Amino acid sequence: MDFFVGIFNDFYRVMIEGGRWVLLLEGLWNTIYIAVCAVLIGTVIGCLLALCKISKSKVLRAVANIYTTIIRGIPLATQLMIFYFVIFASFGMDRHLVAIIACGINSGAYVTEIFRAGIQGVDIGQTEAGRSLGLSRAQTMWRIVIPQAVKTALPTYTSEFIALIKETSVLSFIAVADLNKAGDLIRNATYNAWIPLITVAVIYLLITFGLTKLFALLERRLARSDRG
Amino acid sequence: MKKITALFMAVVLCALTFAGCAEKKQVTINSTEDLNGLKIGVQSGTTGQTWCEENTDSEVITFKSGMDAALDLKNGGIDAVVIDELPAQRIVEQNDDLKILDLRFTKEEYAIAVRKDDTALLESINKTIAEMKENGDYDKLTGAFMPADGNIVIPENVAPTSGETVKMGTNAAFWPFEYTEGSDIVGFDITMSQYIAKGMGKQLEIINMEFDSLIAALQAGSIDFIAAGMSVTPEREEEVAFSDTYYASEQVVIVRK
Repeated sequence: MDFFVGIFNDFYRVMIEGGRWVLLLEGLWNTIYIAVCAVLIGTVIGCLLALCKISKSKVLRAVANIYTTIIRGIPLATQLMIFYFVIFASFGMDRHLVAIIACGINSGAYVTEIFRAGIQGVDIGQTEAGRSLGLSRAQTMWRIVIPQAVKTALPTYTSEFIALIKETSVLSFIAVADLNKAGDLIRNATYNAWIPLITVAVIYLLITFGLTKLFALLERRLARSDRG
Repeated sequence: MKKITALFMAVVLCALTFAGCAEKKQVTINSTEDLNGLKIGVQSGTTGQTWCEENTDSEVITFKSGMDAALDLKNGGIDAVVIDELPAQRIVEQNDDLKILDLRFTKEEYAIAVRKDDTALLESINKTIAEMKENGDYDKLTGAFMPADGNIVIPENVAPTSGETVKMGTNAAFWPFEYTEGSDIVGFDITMSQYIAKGMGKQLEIINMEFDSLIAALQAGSIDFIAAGMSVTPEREEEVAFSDTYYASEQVVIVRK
């Protein structure tokens, strides 16, 4: 019993006293809105580049290949610092905006590959059937291939979103106060390492677990149209 | 398809142009009150951070090192940097567009931190510091790392090179107390730690980590003592035991010229 009282007292001293839990809320908000904006940017980039990758134009294919090679070959932390301290340095841009752009561009490369794999995973017979029914290339792609591709790509796409939320923990490299950083701030203020760290870990876990469940529901809904 | 790509590029370019319009604010700071409302960069876990949070009504932004904060100051991300005097001098020397203000507000003193129950180590460290001050080694050390002519001569390692090790934790981004020269970590604190290790008859292992992780690492037992230009504060004294102080410093403010 004393053990739990001790933990509760520690927790109270570290988190509640001095209103330090507010830091966690602010950090959580930063993490979530940066991840959501980044995933939106990433999805747009991913759609465009996935189409580039399967296009007939050599130039477009080369552009998309160079992009995914460079972005996927460099760790996010390094990219983030290049974006903030080198590329956008002279613009005096808001650090949150840079964080969103950097994470978005990073995520875009992974989403590109996910979408490409999804589209190419649809049997070529589907395209052939569409074309022979008189649909144009674009119509076939839009009405026949993409709806099927979405379904196969969804599980990996959602796991990319979840991965991105965890990846944002490197944002403190450019002094963005994300959830992980909020834990650091509390650790610095209280010199207590385990309470802030475990709390932050639990929050990350709750978010990712909740999202996994949510996307699983969505997948199940989409699977309803499959033939049993 | 090409149209879409072109459109996308155009949007990105427009966004960049607008972002580029953000101006680097020129700030005038004559007293500590003038820091209110500014964005102030500090190194995470330093007394500069604590001081700004307690004494100013400003937005305190924490960086992994003072140099990162200075870089962001140059780029216009923040308005001022609060950091210890000597690293500040180094930063200003290397960056023509930054300057140190005449404003001085907190005096503080550096000491070596050990675990509270580690009294034997604490005594040994205090003995070494006292001896160094007495026999002139301390003056030699200040002469080596804070020379009047600016030419630092790094002293030879004085600690044994074999046998048991003592682990010292530091954050090598704090010139001239700890910094990297080539691939080696050198500095005032490093050489002093070598004397401490020598006093204990052990070899010195330097562990370089984030400044704000040092106290946690010490408590967890992954290092034996901290020598990182760490100032003695009442908050820290609740967690660790400090040796006799070995250097007096001040916090200063760096701004754009």
